[in-house]
Amino acid sequence: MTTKVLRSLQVVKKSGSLQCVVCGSRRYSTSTNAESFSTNTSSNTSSTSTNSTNTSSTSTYSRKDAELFDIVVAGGGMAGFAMACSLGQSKVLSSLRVLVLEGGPHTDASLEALSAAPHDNRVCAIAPPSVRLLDKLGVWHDICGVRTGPVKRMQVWDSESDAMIAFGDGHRALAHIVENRVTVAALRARVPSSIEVRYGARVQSFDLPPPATDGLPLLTLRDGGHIRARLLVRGASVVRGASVVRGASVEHLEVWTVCRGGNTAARGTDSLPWWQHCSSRYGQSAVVATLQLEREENESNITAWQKFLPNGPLAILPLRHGLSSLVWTTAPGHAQALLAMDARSFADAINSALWSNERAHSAPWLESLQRRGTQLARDVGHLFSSATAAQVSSRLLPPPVVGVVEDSRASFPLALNHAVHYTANRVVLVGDAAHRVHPLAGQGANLGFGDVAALTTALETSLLLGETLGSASCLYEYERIRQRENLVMLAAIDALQKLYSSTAPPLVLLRALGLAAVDAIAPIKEKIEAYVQR
Amino acid sequence: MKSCRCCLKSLLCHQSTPAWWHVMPQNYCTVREINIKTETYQNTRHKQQSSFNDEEVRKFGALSDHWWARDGPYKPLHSLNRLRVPLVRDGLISTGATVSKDGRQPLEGVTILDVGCGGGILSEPLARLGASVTGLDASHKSIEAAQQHSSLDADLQGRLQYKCCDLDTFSQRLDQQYDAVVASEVLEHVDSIEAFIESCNACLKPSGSLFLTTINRTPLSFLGAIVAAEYLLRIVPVGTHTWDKFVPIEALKKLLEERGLQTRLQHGMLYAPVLDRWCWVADTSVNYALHAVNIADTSVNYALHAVNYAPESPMSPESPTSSLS
Repeated sequence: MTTKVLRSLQVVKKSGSLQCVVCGSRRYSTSTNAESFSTNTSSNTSSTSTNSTNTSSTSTYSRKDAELFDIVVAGGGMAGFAMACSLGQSKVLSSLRVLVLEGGPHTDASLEALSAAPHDNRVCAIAPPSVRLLDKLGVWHDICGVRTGPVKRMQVWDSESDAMIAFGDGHRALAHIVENRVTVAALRARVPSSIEVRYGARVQSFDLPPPATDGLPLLTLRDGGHIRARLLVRGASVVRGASVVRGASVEHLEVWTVCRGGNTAARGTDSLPWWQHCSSRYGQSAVVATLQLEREENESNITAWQKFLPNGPLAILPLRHGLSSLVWTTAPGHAQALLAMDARSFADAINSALWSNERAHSAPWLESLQRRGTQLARDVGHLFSSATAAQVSSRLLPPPVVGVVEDSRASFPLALNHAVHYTANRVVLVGDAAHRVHPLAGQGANLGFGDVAALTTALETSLLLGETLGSASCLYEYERIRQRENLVMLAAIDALQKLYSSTAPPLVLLRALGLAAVDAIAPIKEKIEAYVQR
Repeated sequence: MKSCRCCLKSLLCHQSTPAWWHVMPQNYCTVREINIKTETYQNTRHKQQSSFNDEEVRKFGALSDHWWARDGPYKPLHSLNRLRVPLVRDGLISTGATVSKDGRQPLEGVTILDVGCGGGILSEPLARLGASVTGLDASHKSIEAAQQHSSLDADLQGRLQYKCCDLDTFSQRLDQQYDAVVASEVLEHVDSIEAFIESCNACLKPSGSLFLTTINRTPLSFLGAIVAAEYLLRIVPVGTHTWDKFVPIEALKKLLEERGLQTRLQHGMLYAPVLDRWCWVADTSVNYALHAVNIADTSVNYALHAVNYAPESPMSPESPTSSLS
């Protein structure tokens, strides 16, 4: 019920630049829906006429040379390989025929080779629920054997005010910073031999059956092969890794064509086109790099620092002693300038951004109001706290950046993307195919792992109820559970991004007081920590 | 002839669709008259010796095209699978009828008779779980619809067969007995409960399980299953159910006891119309499910917890907690 309401709200949302992703070379015939969205006309509109769909689509369902699999995971990456491991490990699902299609080449990089190689610039913050899933898959032990950067303390502060918040006591890990390629390699190594993985398999088109019919999805590969699946799981990230030489920005937007099959009579029965996304571009780019920090003898690198600047947040995530990963979200022009600088200037730019106290608007009355508000928040916090000593977090300064690892700088564009439907007839989206979020909260990978766990559970329950694989009720259960969680997180992250992107004094005051209140009042902070650790 | 002190009409007088003013006061009887009600109820239904009713069969035959329509008149039966498949699956695992350790097919090696299978809504999931299922229905059209739908799924070949026959005739011409007999949403449509239970028992192996889901005969079930479901919310077509034929749970348990079937589990079920979801509830006033075991062979009573059920068999969260009668 809630999902239906939320879905309808997404459809009527008018703010921002809504883009209806009309997938592929064939346009849907539901023109009423196409009118209310600005369609992406540059490359995706039907260059081939719709006439060709009728002749080719009716014959594709009866292809006799197509291989048949129970589950096809289209797209590797963290979510895809995690899904494969999860399917292989489940007692109920391990007897199914599963195929994983990975577009990239097969790399012989073993985990030992990766531990000797320098750190990659694309990292993810793995939260405790994802750690539990990876542990269950037997992968976490392998990842820890390579390298992880535990985050035991986190400090978030604002450039426009004195407000700050700190999480963590320095002992228990709030999250772990793991390189993406280490996670993927560890998952690949644990995929059971009963599951077939094909590398270099790029899908040219998907032929999907109309809703409430009995057809099966048909995949056409670029090398001409055909594959039919009882359930198609789409998991790959839309934007590929940005591991290129410095100075270049990467935009690998994987455009996958989706053909809508079936006869014309069935087309008009749908009220919403599939794969409709709610998306908005933030107008920001993220710059990533691996930084060398000043080593201090008696302090280990366990703190994650995040400062909200007027153009976007700057985050330093610990990798190991003396080494951290940078994720700096800023305007595209500034991002290009940062990539073009030499290493020295780049390090100076980071240091000055972290340490400067300059404000866009500074007014004495504003600062005194903030001080009073912060003091009030602390007094309220004392009411909840039993200790007489102030439970206020002490503000620390991040260690200075002394250098940048060579060839580790890159940038990629940011966008918010959420699929209105996670499921269709025999198709389901997990991970980045379903949602893309701003990196300010480090939740992108965690939402994907949550999707994998929920889909596995939904499939197990469905098969034990004697339903067919990919039945509508099973997929709807998965969509209901995941949208309920993902939409909350997406909305919160989007709200935070919008709140911190402005320098208007009233907004600054509001967010300063809010941050001080959350920091001072212990029950609220505990609730947030519990939610992240759930 | 006893007459209810709340109304002047005799308890034995009933029409096929009772008018509300006749039905409602009758059930304001005090508790001590429940025994009289049970006895009288048994006497009335006892008159007809056969469980087969032409009119009921024709009613379902007329809607045979809609058995598998997801939003058709049988939508609640499809969503009821969420409760009754775990009921049968976990009930059979707990009585040790299955020794299969395969995660995906926990009912392998079990033979099940689905009485009043209709379009095969319950038969197909049970067959997919590994059981060898025989679906029985007296309506030709329903059996045809069931056979046509089961032919679409290759997994069901060899495990699922349908027979168009009434239960009495079938039980007299049995070639094998079954590990379990399932009669879901059937009892409230038969004429003689006694004859029906006897025929079901005849089809059961010793220590076999009988699974029943039906509707209780209470004022609440009149309001819920007739007034709300048929007239107000239009969940089922008008005339699907007859309040007179609803089965009081105490009378049913007594009947089963007399035939050597010990009730192992009883639980209520509740339907949420807008969400199209069923859930287990403790109250058996409207819909209820019952699992009874044939205890002709008394050694099964003590073997209940020592059976070799698959240790990893998932006890679904939808499975009700057992409550012995």
